[in-house]
This record gives sequence, structure tokens and C-alpha cells, in this order.
Amino acid sequence: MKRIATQARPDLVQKAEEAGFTFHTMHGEPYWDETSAYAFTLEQIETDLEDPATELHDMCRQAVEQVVGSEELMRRLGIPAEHMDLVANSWAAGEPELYGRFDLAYDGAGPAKLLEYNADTPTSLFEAAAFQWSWLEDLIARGQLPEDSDQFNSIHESLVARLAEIVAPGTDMHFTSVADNAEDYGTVETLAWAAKDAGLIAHYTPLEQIGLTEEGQFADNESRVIGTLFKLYPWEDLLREDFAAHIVSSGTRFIEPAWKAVLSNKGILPVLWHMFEGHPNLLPAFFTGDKDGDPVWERARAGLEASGWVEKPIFSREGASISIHQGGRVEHSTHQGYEAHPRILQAYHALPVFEGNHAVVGAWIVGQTCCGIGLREDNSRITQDLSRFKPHFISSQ
Amino acid sequence: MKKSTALRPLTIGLLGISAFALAGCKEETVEATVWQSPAACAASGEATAAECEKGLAEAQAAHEQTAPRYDAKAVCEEQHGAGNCVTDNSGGGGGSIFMPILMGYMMGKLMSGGLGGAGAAAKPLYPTPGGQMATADGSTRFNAGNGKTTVPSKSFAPSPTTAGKAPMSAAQVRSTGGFGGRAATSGGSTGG
Repeated sequence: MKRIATQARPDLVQKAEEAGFTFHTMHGEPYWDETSAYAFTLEQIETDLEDPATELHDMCRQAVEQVVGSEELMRRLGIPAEHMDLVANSWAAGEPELYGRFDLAYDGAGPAKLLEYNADTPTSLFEAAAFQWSWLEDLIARGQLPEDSDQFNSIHESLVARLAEIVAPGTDMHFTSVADNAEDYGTVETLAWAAKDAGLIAHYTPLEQIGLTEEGQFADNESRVIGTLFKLYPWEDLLREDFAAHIVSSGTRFIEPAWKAVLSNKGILPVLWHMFEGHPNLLPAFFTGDKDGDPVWERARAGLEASGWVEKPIFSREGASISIHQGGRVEHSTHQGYEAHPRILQAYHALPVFEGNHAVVGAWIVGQTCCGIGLREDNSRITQDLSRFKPHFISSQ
Repeated sequence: MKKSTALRPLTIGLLGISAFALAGCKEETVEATVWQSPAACAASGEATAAECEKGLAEAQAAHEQTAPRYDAKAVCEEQHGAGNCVTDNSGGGGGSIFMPILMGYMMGKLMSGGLGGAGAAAKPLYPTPGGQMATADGSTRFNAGNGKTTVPSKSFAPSPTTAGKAPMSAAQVRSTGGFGGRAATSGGSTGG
């Protein structure tokens, strides 16, 4: 895995703006950064990322099965008591998942390590599915990358196929996200293009404008009943809001399904470690409040003292409220806000550093299979919302 | 090949190219005028004094029948602003039904330039907590003031009768905004 200097396209800003990718620069800093790119071999992609990520998703599904069968585990994962049935029933009914993104620490050599699973509301989909693909095509066309350069990215095709599989053709499918957020809208519209290609009719409604009819159905901003709803909004928040009481009775089909609430928080990491202790793609993880007398903890202790560990709230975004404990020192993330939530600890595993940049591999799962990756890098070892998105290619060398 | 073989360049957030079915673009609109008093209406020259008074009378009649009605003053004021609610004295309820005051009225303009006509009776407008004016169902809003505007034709559809019916409770009033409250307080992207 190499970080290679590449020539940024002179018309990059124009191309981005024409595509509506207005957030190519954020807070005055580049977000999309093509002055360099990551190069992988096919072996690294297939053996170290694609297959392990697919396997990790399957392991996560097994973990969901465990969690929904245990009120205690659901409580630890922050599922509100009054909605545990909703979550468990959506799993029992086999409601199909659409997509998710694993964040992995991978340096090109050792096994990729699971940092966390954004299984409910992953973003950066436009960048990963579309913009990095057209970057590759452009560079090949301009002779700046070899003709046979490839990229691990069949995300769009996979979304089309999966949507066609799980939603009947001709269905009116609603999409919602918090209003006035360009990044979220980018992810949602990218999904809507896939829905359109899958023969569905996509409708957008800002989250705040979803209403409730007299019959208790959810309605959009034109008072049309919502039958199928893709929501770019976390289950852990939905389940704590006014409309939560109406979710089941509304008859609306939610994508992602409610059981994703089990995966969309870091509490799944201790569950995974206890189910698959020692798995090469997992890092030891524990609930902070619950280690005494746990033989799994006893076996991991010495290693954690040596490697250091990271404490994270079970719900947090963009690296907020994370602290890294190493060699007696503690480093706190600059963003806070999640201190009140239950926390887990996970063995510290350094991100690879390329010229001062800490790189995280985002592995995209569509349906139950890994179909692409997107990379982000940051000056800090805690990846936050100022991280840059980096394109990648697969070199034949 | 590990990548998609064909992908037309996708766009996001562009007006005119959208993955979403265009909302309301074929909706019919009508010209309308909005007034906070018949005096303002007459002074504008948009309608005669008689037409302005007739519009108010139609709006007041509609107001009696179709104003939003609530089972508590606090619920009404939450929707319409402090000080903007009065007891419904139209009979029944015994002083426990509350409705907003009339803040203005909206008149439709026919293509011929005349006012009124079937389906275009003047509609009452009610205060919002933010000082705007809105139709009874809240779907059409204006900044406070007087003058010409364009509204969807459906804004003039008759409102359902509320007089003599059970008033809305706080739970029923939450017709929108039942999702997203936590986003409002935490701010920023809720994706990851």
C-alpha cells in the first residue's frame, strides 16, 4: 500500500462544482484531495480487505442474533427498553440491510483491524461511489495512470442490484435526511440515483417535515403517505424522539431496518470480541464498566497495558469524546459532547502514517458483501470531520 | 476489474438534474392578495373597498367554522404565539376550547382579474409563533404585511370544519417535527 503523488486535475474545482460536489473544500481546507492517492495491489484488496470485510459483516450479523436475544445486551447497547421488541422483531422478520461502511486500520501488510462499523448512517457515499470513479477515468484518459489501472469500487452497481432485490420495481421510495446539510444530501441523492436505476421512484423529504396523518401513517412534505423510507438519520436518535411511538403502527418500511440499531453503536465491538476472541481482524474490546471477573478481560489485560487502549462512547460521531490511553498519558479528541454515554474500551492500534497522514480504510458493504473502499486521512490520529477523502487505485505492480 | 464498468457521472444537489421526482413543479398556482385589514386592501388599489370588506367577511365566516381549535390555551399559544389565542365562544366547550385570533386574510385573483368565485373564497390567516401569517393548516405562510403574492391553488381549498368538533390536544398537534429534534440540538451531520 503506497501513497503516491498524483497531479491534481487543473479543472478539479470546476468538475466538482458541476457535479454539485460543493463540499470539496470545507472550512477553507481541502476535503477532496487528489494531490496524492493510495495505490494497492489486487492481492491486498482481495485478500486483506474485500474478503475480511465480507466476513466481518457476517460476524456482525451473528452478533446481532446474540444481542437481540438478550435484554441485558440490548440495554448495554443503549436500545431503549420500550423499543427492544421493535429491534428484535425487525431481525426476526429478516428485514434486509442495504449498506454500511467498516472503518479499518490497514497498512498493506498485516491483517486489517476493525475500528468501528458505521452500519446505519455511513456518509461519503458520493465521493466513494461516484467521484473517485470519475477521478480514475479522467486520469487514465489523460495518460496519468496506466490504462489497466483499476479501483475497488463497484458500489453504485451493487447498490442498484441490492435495491432491485429488496424493493419491488415501481415502488415509490422516500429518502430523508436532516435539512440543509450538503454532505448528507450528497449521500442520499447518490442512493436515489441507484434507486432510480433499480426501477424505483425516489422522493426526497427533509426529516423535520415528515408528518403524521390522522390514521397514524408517516407522510411527506406533500402529505403523501410514506410506504418505504430510507433515512440518513441514526436509529439511536429516532428511537428517542416524538415519532418513535408511531414507527411500528405507521406500517412504514424503514431502510436501514431497525436491527441496524444494534450494529450502529460501538457496543457491538465488545460483543464481537467475546464471540470471536482472537480473530485476526478484531481488536480486543470491553465495556468499561464490566471487566472484573471476565476471563476474556483477564486474557487481554497484559496486551492492553502494553498497546494502550482507546475509550469511546457507544454513540459518537466524527471522533468526538474519544480518549487514547497510552504509556500513562491520555490524549483527548478536540470535539466533545458524548461524555454522558456508556463507554467501551478498545485496544489501541496505530493507523498507518504516510508522510504525516494517518490513513483509515472505509470498506463499503452493500447487502452482505464488500464492494468497494474509500480512504480518509488526517494529520491527527483521531479521524474527524476535517479528514480528507483520498482516491485510490489498484496497480498491476 | 474491481470497479463498476459503466457509470455516468453522478451529480448531487443540482437544481434541474435530480434523482428525485420533482416535487410540486407542475402544481397549479394562483395569484392572490394578502391583507391584514380591509383598510390596507382598499388603500392598495388592488380591489375595491367593497371587495375588501367582502373578503374579510368571507374570511371571518370561514374562521368561525374552520379555525384550528385546541383543548388548552398553552397548546394553542405554542402553535400561534403568546397572547394570540382566545376562548371559543361559538357554543359548546364551556370556555375550554381555544382558537387563534385572525391576523389577516387571503383573497384569490381569477385570470379575468376579478376576485372570489367558487373555490376562491377568502381564507383566514393566523399568527405563527415567529410572527408570520399562515392558513389554518399551516401549509401556506407569509411574512406579515399586505400585498400581492402567488400561492398553490390548493391553498384555497376549503378547510375542514372544526366548530363543534373535538379540539386538538397537544399530542395531535405534533403533526410534523416528530423526528429530528436531536439533530437540532447537536447540530452538524448525523452521518458517520
